[in-house]
Order: sequence, then C-alpha cells, then structure tokens
Amino acid sequence: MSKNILKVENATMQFGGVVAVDNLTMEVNEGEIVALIGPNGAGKTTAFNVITGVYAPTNGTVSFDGEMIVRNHPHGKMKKMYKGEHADMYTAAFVAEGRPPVEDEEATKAWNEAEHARDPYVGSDKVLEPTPDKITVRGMARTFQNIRLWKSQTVFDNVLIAKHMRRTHGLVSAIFRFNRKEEKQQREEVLELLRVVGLEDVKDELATSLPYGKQRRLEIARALATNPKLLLLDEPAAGMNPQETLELTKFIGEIRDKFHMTILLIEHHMDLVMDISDRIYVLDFGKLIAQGVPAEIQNNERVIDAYLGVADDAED
Amino acid sequence: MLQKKNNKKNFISLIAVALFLVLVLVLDQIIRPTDKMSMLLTVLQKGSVYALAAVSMNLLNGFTGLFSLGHAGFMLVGAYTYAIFTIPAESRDTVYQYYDAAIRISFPEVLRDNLGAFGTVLGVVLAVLLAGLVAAFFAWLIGLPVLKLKSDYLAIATLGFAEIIRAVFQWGKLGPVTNGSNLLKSFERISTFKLTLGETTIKLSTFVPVLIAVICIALIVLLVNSTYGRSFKAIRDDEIAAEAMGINLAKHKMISFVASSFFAGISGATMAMVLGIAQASNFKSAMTYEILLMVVLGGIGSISGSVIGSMLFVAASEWWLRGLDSGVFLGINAPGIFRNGFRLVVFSVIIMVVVLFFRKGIMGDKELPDLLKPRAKKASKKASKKEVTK
Repeated sequence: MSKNILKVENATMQFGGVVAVDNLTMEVNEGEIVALIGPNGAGKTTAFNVITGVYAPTNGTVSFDGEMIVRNHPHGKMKKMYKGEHADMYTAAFVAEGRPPVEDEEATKAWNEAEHARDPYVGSDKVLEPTPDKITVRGMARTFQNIRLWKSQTVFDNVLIAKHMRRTHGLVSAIFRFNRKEEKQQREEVLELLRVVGLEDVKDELATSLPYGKQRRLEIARALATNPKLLLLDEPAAGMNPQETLELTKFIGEIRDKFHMTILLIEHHMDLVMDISDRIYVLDFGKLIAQGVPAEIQNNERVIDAYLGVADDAED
Repeated sequence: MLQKKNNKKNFISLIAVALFLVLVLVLDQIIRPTDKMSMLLTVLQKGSVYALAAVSMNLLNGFTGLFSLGHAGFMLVGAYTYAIFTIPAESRDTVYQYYDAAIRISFPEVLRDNLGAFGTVLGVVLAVLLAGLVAAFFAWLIGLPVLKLKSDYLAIATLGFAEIIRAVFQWGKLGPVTNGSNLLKSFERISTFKLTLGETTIKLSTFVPVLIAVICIALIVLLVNSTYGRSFKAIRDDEIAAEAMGINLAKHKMISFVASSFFAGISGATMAMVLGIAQASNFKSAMTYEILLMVVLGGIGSISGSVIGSMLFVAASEWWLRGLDSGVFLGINAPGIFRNGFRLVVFSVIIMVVVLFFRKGIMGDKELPDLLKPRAKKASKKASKKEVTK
C-alpha cells in the first residue's frame, strides 16, 4: 500500500444555515489520480477550498503528508447553529468510545497511541487554520474553476512568479541582486517546465492572449512550478470541446508519469474521469454517497440516480 | 539572447541617467538666479521631489494594487524628521520660540565638529535616511490593522491617517518636538549645499535633490524588477491566485506599504530641503491628490511615466502657465482675463484633455527603455516575413 498523502476527516463546512460539505472523509494516496465528482452544487469546490485553506472548515481536519495542517471545531456563533456531526470530536470535551479498561495498561497505551496517530491534538481545542499560501508552501498546488492567471504578465512570468515561494533570499538581497544565481536557476527551471508542457513557443506572449486550452495548460504549469507533491485541479476540462478534452486527458496522464505527481481533480467530463482516475469519490448535497474504482462507480445505483443518469444506448 | 538585449537596454538607460545628472550639475553652475531660465532649476528641484513621491506612490497603487491615499502623511513625517534633526544649535531657540526644544541634536553639526565638511554631508544623509525610516515605522504601525482592508476602504483609512497625523503634528502638547503649528526653519537646505575645491565653488542646490530622487527611484526600479516586485504585480492582478501560489499576502502587502512610505518619507525630507521650511499645514490631502494625478497622468504601473508626469505637472503649474495668473501669457497682455485663478482653470482643462486622449496615461504601463523595443520587433517581423515569401 502506498503512502497516504492527503487525508480529510469529518470535514464539515457550514455557511450560515447551509451545510455545503457534510462530514466528508476521504484520502488520496501517493501516485494516485483521484476524482471528486457530483452534480452542480454538491460541494466539490467547497471541499477543494477547505483542503487548500481558502475556507477554514467548520469542523474536521485535513492532514497532508503525515502532518495535520487544518483542524477546527464549531465555535463562536457556529456553536449553536452547527447542524453537522461530530460537533465535539475536535474539542477538549471529546470523549472517545472504545477506551479499554484502565487496568489493562498495554491496551490503554496502544489505544492512546492509535488515538494520537489519528489526531495528534486529540482532547484539545487546538485550531489550525493556515492561510492558503502556507498550505501551498507545504506542497499542495491548485488550479481554479474559472481560470485565474495574472493578466498583465507574460506566460513566462506567470510561471516564474510561482517560483517566488521557493526563494531562499530576503528582500534586501533580492533588490541588490545577490540572488542572481538562484534567479538564473529558477529561470532555467521555468523554461524547462514550459518546454515539457509545450508552451515554450508562446513564453513571451501575454497570458490572456493564449487560446483557452493553452491557458488551462499554463495554469497547470504554474501550479507545477511550485514543486508540489499533490496537484489539485478544479474542473480542468470546463468549457473544452471533445478534442481539447482528449488532449487534456493525455496531458494529465503525462504529468503524473513525468513528475510522479499525485492528482486530485474535480470534473464533469465523465470520459475523462473514467479514463484516468484510479479512484472516485461522489458527492451529493455535500455528503459522500459513493467511493471506489471507476467500474464500481459506473454501476452504483445511488450514483446513477443522483448524477450519472442512464446512457441513451443502455436503455435500448 | 533576451538577456543580452536586456543588458544592452540597461546599459543605455544607465548612460542616459548619468548624462542627465551631469547636465543638471552643469545647469546648476551656468544658470544664475536672476536668469529667466532659473525657473528650470526650480522645476528640476521640485519636480524631483514630486517624481520620487509619485514613483513611491506608484509602487503601492500601481504595482501592488493597494489604493492608498496616505502619502502626504508619510511625507510630512519625513519632512519633520529631517528638519528636527538638522536644525543647528544656534538657531534652535529662535525656531522653537514658544517651546523648550526637546530634541537637541543636529546630525550635520555634530558630525561636522568631528569629521569636518564630510561630516556635514554624512549628517544630511543620515537625517534623510532617518526621515525614511521614521515614515516606514509609522507605515508599519498603521499597516497592521489597515492592510486587511481593500480598495476604497483602504483609501479612506489611509486618508484618515494622513489627516490625523497632520493634526497630531500641530498639537500644542507636542510643541517641544514639532514646534506645534509653527513652522520649522533654519535647517540644512539646498541653497547651502556647495562643494569647494580650492578657489572654485560648485553649487549643488539642484544636483542634490535630483541625485536623491535618482538613487531612490533606481532602488524602486530594482525592487519592482526583483522577485518581490513580480509577486507584487501578481497580487495586483489576482490576489486569490497569488495566495494560492504561495505568496503571503499580509507580508508582501506590508513590504510594499512600508517601502513605499520609506521613499515617501525621503521625498518629504527632500521637500523640506528644497523649500527650506517644514510646516504641517502644507501636507494636506490635496498634496496626495496632486501626486495621485501625476501617477495617473504618467500611467499607473509605469515608473518613467510617473517621473514624466510629475516633471510636466510641476513645469506646467510652476513655470509655463504662470503667465495665466499674472496678466501676460504667450505675449498676450490681457490682465482682465489672465488674473489670479485662471491658471487653475486652464490647467484642469489640459488635464482633462490629456486623460481623454491618453486613457492609460502618457506611458501606459510601459517604461521609457521599452520604446526602444518596437523597432527591433518590427525588424524581426519583417525578416520573418521575407523568409516566408521566399
């Protein structure tokens, strides 16, 4: 079994009275391509935003690369309004079930260790809510559903700016160009990356002057420039025609192979999802309704009812 | 190849700046205060003060996309800091006539006693640097709460700060430091800056403010083109994407804000140096708007644009359009029309026309050296076309 790289546990995101993500538990293993699917408004992008730190979840935890990076419990105004489950699981008031009798020292010790492995801050009110940049520095990079490139910058600069967070020099040494070596190396890395993703010939164009498919590609390249361990793609094929989708599918496969990347993606193009995912999670109304390999998902009654529907030719 | 082209461009820019400095130094010697052209020196002096202020505002508003209107406040802090620390002991009591001066140290004086003429220069440099640092410190203090705000809200908060700081500096209780609402004077000013080599004295009254502006603007250019400057632009273009790509928004906004205020403080110090007085009531919000106007005229996001914008602005308001107020303009003698206030009418019309025709300012978001580029591009395009036709 390969190493667990992302683990989301009991994540609930509630906006006012609306529960957008309800008690989501999922994990992504190293080297996998995992898809998160579901009908519009199911909470897929919200789940993404919780994982990448754009929102702090109302309740639940996110662990990345063996370390807990996000942890929260309903507090303040949310305490009374909270509609989800496990309201006190991540507070000091948490009483775990299944605790062995105190006399059995060995079992107690083992149980304690297991509890701490599950949640290193178990039994405390500890809240972890890092800003998105801190999470990206840890090695998680994302793209956006609606392309968010830096409009006034060239293709090259778009990718180069993503290298900024890997700098080792401070402000003063950057102003007086003592970081020349690092800068040169970064520029070379960016060029290499652009060559790999096939954008080298347009590197001096403005990012927004590229055709749509290439902008998507550039956004992925920019995320790759941060040297992530996990790449999160939010609807990478949105607005693409079948031909472009096909190319993108190939491209995502290439990225996994070339960069040994782990990928979590949200997608509506079922061809793409079924083609490249190793495992699939299905969300509906914020709740996880199914998970498994593509073949299982395709034949899952609940998923077909909620989302996939029945293909025309299958009805005949 | 691109690197080589850039190097060449940088080299040309450097030479141009060096030539400009030499020219200023020469003009400083040959133009006498009684000459008609002496206005040129005034314009260069004031223009360089405003150019630095405009460029530092552009760093914040144009490159980082933080719409801040606190510039006059930071310039005020810089001007006062410079003035307070360069007033010589003998005139301290006449300046602080109603108060008992609290700060009894003058950098140029102390250092002159120890190091001679070089000490004076060093003292002035130290006072200017301190002016920047104090302004930067104020920026850091108010940046902590204020930088969480966005666009209009940030503008109003910083505008409020500038007004409050002006009131505080005029407050009687602070009189021993700021001289209350009275002006500070008799400190080191540009007309006293001279270089004596044997029998010849070289006047530096225009050269010094221009040199200060050139050095500071060069630093800002280096900052903008560094990896930090690039991330400022990323924050301006798309904050959410910038944060998702690992750029710490709070930290980078603070760096930009503090750096901008540091240079605003220095420009305030230079202004005190040029005018020979420092008075809080000069640094009203109207000054911020003037600087903002220069930035917009020159082009938001263009450093050379800000310099051109402020030079033109100062030249027009101080020199070229003077006649509109004093009766004779372009040889036309019409005291009935050309009287007090008419200059401002014409000036507003000119600005409206410029803004209408240059929607992105004179320079847009391009820099002067970029103007060398299109020709090269066209040439290469022609070459590639030829290849195609072959």
